[in-house]
Amino acid sequence: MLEVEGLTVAPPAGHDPPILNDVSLALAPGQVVGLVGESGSGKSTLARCLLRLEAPLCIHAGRILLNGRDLVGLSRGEMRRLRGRQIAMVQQDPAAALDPIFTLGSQLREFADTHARDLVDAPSERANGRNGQGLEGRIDALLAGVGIDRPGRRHRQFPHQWSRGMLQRTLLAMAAWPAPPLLILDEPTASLDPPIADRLLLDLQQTVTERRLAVLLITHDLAVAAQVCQSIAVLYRGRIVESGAARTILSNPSHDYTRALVASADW
Amino acid sequence: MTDGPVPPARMPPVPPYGNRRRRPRRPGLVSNPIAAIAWVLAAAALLAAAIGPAVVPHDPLSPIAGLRLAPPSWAHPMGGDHLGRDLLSRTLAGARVSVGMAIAVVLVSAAVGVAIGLIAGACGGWVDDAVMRLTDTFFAFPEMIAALTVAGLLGGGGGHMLLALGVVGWMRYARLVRGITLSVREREHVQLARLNGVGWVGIVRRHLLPASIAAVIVMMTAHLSRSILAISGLGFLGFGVQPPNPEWGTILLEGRSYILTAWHYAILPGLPIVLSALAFNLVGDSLRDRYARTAP
Ligand SMILES: Nc1ncnc2c1ncn2[C@@H]1O[C@H](COP(=O)(O)OP(=O)(O)O)[C@@H](O)[C@H]1O
Ligand SMILES: [Mg+2]
Repeated sequence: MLEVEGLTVAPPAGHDPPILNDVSLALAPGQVVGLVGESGSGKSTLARCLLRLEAPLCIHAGRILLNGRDLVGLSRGEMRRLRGRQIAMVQQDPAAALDPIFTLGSQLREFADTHARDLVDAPSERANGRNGQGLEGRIDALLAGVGIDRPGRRHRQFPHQWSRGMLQRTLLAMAAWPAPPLLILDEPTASLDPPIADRLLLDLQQTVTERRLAVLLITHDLAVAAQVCQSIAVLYRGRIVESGAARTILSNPSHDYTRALVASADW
Repeated sequence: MTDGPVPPARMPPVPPYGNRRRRPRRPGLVSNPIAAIAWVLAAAALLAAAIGPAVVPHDPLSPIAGLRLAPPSWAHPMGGDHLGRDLLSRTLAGARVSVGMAIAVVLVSAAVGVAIGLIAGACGGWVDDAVMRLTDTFFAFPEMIAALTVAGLLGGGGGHMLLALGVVGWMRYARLVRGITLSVREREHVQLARLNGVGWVGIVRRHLLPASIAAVIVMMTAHLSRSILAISGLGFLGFGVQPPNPEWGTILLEGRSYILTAWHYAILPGLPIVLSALAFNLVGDSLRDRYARTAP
């Protein structure tokens, strides 16, 4: 489904050390792969590369194969059509991800218009949705699906009036709405309280089973990766130093850096 | 540097992320009496420009017997001019040109400047460099002198005046909008739009233009005030609307010769210029205080 091979990314004037060095990674549908690493190791950069939004950095070598098609060679227009539909991403900071000057309702409608032909309501949303009520009804169902009460009133509110947990769960539901085969989550729980983070991870697991997405879950927290990931790749200073089944890596880390991570994680 | 206690940094208040019922109260638009008066005067100026020529008590172009340089009276509150025309009627009719033309100058300048600023900010790179050097070049000419040059080359008249002031009016908008655009385009919500495959045209329309609007409107009111002064100034110097058509600066030019014999003729037509310019400036201030605290 997604295969990254030997990806090397650096600033354009190439004397600096690469930010990603010979990174390889593979994802299959229905699989959650954890990308673990300390901050500054290049996790967000890798995520942006997968969407070809790496500018001002450059991809110097490597391939990004999505269902056998190399994204590195695609034109801007082709790449733009893939974004959100084939590869979706939820950013790190939910409080900054929406435009502060528009209501949530108007931004949800804009999003729905952008992907009008691709939206697929999940079974759980169809169950609690009031079907046949057009876009508004589907948006309400989406919000109700992530536990937001009285969605009709919430439409008129602005992003700063929502909690981070509400925003993050809504952003996740939005990103999954067009049923993208590949979903990237950049530190989705980093700014959430533990109970809210758990709710989000439950949402995620439900989404993965309902829609059979492949998920790349970026985190610096091994506990989060242990909770939901089938396999884990450890990124350290732009290199994948270790990857494999989650259980193996957590119980029997082979690289020094992973060993330190496992030792310091609080379970 | 000494190692004394560090004073707490003054930071703008950060909006809380929690779930809040009400947004914080903003200062009212007409929170003080001066602002209230300014809003009333500005509205009156706009109204005069809109319907002034239709509601004049007398014909602004034809003389009335016995009104030559007559002082203010109940029948003619602003008195008569050197040809015996009713000055109140001429001033009201002149609002169409003085304020109406200023509005046209502001709209044209803002449209051109906002478009250029959005292009520079959204494209970045060499486009931004080229556009901003062009803007700097236009900035090098002082507004009034550049307007006088254009008006002098092309001759007087309304259309030329609009062109002259438009040519020197767009740069501030371009700079303002480019600055806002450059900072907003790096924000996460624009990144989200790009993640969803929205192109630059869509991003400009949905995020960059709306983010600039508040500051642009504030700038437009201040610019309106300057344009009223500039148009009256050009009229006073003889580059504006040609007699006998009424225009505030031109009326003042005609009245100048009678300052010793008919004070009202040289003073009263100047009041709407001063008051409307002041009013639009204060309206701009009160809009800025409410909506665009970061605008210059
Ligand atoms: N546009 C850029 N130019 C130069 N260096 C960059 C750029 N973007 C990211 N980096 C560098 O790449 C490294 C990885 O950053 P990032 O991917 O954000 O790390 P992470 O998400 O793992 O915390 C950092 O050292 C950062 O300074
Ligand atoms: Mg990051």
